Amino acid sequence: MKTKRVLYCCVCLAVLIGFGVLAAAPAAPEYEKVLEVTMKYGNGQYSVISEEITYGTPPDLAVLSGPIKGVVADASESELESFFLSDPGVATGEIASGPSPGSVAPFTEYESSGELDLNLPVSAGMQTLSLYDTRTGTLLFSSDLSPAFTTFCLGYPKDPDCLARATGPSRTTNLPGTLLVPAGLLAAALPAVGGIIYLAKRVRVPQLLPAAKQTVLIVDDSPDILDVVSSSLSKDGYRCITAPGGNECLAILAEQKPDVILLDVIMAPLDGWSTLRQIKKNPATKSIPVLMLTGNRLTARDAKDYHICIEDYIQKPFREEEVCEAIEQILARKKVVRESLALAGKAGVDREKFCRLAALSTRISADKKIIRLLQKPDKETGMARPPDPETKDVISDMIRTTHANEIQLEELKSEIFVAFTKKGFVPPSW
Amino acid sequence: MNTDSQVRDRSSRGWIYLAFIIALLALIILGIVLVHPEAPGENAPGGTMLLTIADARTGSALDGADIYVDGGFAGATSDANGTGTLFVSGIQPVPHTIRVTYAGYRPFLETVTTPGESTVNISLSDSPLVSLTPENNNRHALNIVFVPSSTYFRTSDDSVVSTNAYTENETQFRDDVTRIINDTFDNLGSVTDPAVPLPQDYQDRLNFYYYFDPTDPANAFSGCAGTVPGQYWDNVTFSDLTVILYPLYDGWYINASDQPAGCYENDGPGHKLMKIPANRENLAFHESGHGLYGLVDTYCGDTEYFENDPYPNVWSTKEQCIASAAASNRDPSECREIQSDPGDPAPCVKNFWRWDPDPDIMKTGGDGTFGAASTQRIAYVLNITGEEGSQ
Repeated sequence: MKTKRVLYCCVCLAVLIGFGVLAAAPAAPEYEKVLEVTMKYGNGQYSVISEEITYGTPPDLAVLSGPIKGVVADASESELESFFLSDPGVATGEIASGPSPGSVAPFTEYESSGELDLNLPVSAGMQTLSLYDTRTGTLLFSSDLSPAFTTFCLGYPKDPDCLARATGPSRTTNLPGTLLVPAGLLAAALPAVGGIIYLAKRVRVPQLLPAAKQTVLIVDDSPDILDVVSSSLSKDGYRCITAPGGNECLAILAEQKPDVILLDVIMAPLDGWSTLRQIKKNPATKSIPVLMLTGNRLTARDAKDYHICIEDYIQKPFREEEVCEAIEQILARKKVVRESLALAGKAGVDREKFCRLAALSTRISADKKIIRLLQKPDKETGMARPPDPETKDVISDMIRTTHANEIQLEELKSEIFVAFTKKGFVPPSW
Repeated sequence: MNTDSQVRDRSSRGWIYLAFIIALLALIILGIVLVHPEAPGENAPGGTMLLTIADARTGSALDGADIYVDGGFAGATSDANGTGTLFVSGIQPVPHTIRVTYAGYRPFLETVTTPGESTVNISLSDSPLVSLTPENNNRHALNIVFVPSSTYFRTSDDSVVSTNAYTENETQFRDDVTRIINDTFDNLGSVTDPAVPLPQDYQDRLNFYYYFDPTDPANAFSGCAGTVPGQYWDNVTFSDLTVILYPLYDGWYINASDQPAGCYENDGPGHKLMKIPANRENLAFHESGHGLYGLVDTYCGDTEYFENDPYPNVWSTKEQCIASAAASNRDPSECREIQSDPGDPAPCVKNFWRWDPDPDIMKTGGDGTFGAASTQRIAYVLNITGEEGSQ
């Protein structure tokens, strides 16, 4: 009897409070936002010019049509929104041919290059934007939307979507008054939960979750290497996932997104270079830094083909600290770029310019390491490499490119340094 | 007579009720806090900022303007503390972003630093955007925005001519826009296939606006579909179709150097643009067929053909065209390849098929009707426009 009354009380309170809170709510604030993406296209290539989140109402994506598909996905690569576009740069016009019914004289303008602008609705969970050509299945463009959010949230940290991103990966909508419904529901649910707790006569103590660790995916067909490297990295506080081959690595990447990948070269059936190709081809994984790990010497051909895809290259046998240091450096650089990119937006630095600076810095560092490896004497014989023409060409090409990159880096650095210091920001150090 | 256990029961019930009353009070307070999680609290540490909002032109105070500090809702201006003002407390001495919104005015965004700017006077300017359907509360409706052009075209000498017909006469522009809406956008029933019903309330699924800034008009003859005012895309993020309206297309086709009378260009969602002349309003059917409904030209020429999904009005194979015609209870023999009319001096054939009868608006540029295939596509777009999932 008593139990029933308590339950009735709980239910009545829940209903009353829920209604009370919702009824007392003032006119709903308006937080609707638009992500404005400006892209440059030409020769079938698309690149981002700017990505900016602003307050405003987006257009209706559902009614669009055309052969190009756009997909907005969250961090777990689940599709949040998709839309269609016709080919950009095509304007179809009609010339008036006469007052009576009849055919018109067609008029069409084609622009092989130009700008494409996308106004998209904003949701807290959005992470990537990709464009595909549905006729060929080709990926045309993929972009990480996090920097746009970071910049926006620097200016509007109390916006509900920024609060949602700061507190976790929950997906919120930007409909007005979004907070009112959960507030009402929460207020209604609490006495009900309280009643249940009372009846159950037990209290659960919430457990604090440990801070998120950086995840390293180690791919090697040698169980010994997997064991040694993962226990060494675990001791340093990393979360390790292991894969005994290239196919297993790709299967894991379909489910999870590690912070860095340590990839062995010689594996069967899918070797490290082929696995690397797949990783860099996939828009969802192409931004993950990859560190190659191998017992073989780096060949000139591999260096030429893959140097732009890798962040570092470590030769076996290696010291445990060597791997840890390399991973630490890669992740530290990633962190600096992420944090500085947000400031760059505030300092008025063009996003593409800043990303170019970050990419150049990474490229120069990795290429210098690869050049050293190509020039390095053989570990076993201690002899210098024979100066075969291919290696010589690749080394001189890479030296030339690195030198040009360094000049460009310095120019960008000084420009960005001025913009940062003008605003009182500390310029990024790399 | 009360037994000891009954007395204990009552006493225990009393405690339970008291506990729930306390819980109720606590939860009401919690609810209020949750409703205003982003509003700086009255007792929060930090300074106070006084915001005053006024009309930039008249200087009169604006009550009811919504104010957001650092992205969180801080409240609306009211005359409780003096007209057009709002006190915001809990303000730390760091830069803060202030956003102000008020219907009919341009949104205001600025960064201020307190305590240097503990009093902030904000002037709001009239918005150049005017709603022609303010009574329509359907937030899922498609938004069509008209912009006046300061140019028109004359075929006698192939020239683009400047005009102030609209920039100096907002009433004329508004009247032309209203006429075109009534005769074309809101008059689809007169040109669509009656066998394919449109949503009964289809007019409510279209919202109309115009954007009038006489100092910065559009130019209908800069590029095929024209060019909008410099600040237009910044001010209008939500348009599903922007229509540049120019007052006159003077003359008829003379030679290939003539500029197009109507044109549609898709530069991405929110950036779909078409132009039409006020004196050939039927062109609005054809261009909005492209711009709003995704229909493809059915004439033969150097234009863009693709098979829409769902409900195309042209097909990339004859088989698909026949299958569609059969599914729509049409005679499959009506499927024909897109090609120029007999006797055309420049014969043309495209590998696309269609079955809508002639005269077809997507072929003629405005005369005739939308056939059943085109009407199915139009009905589909209008139906999904009303759905909750759409914006």
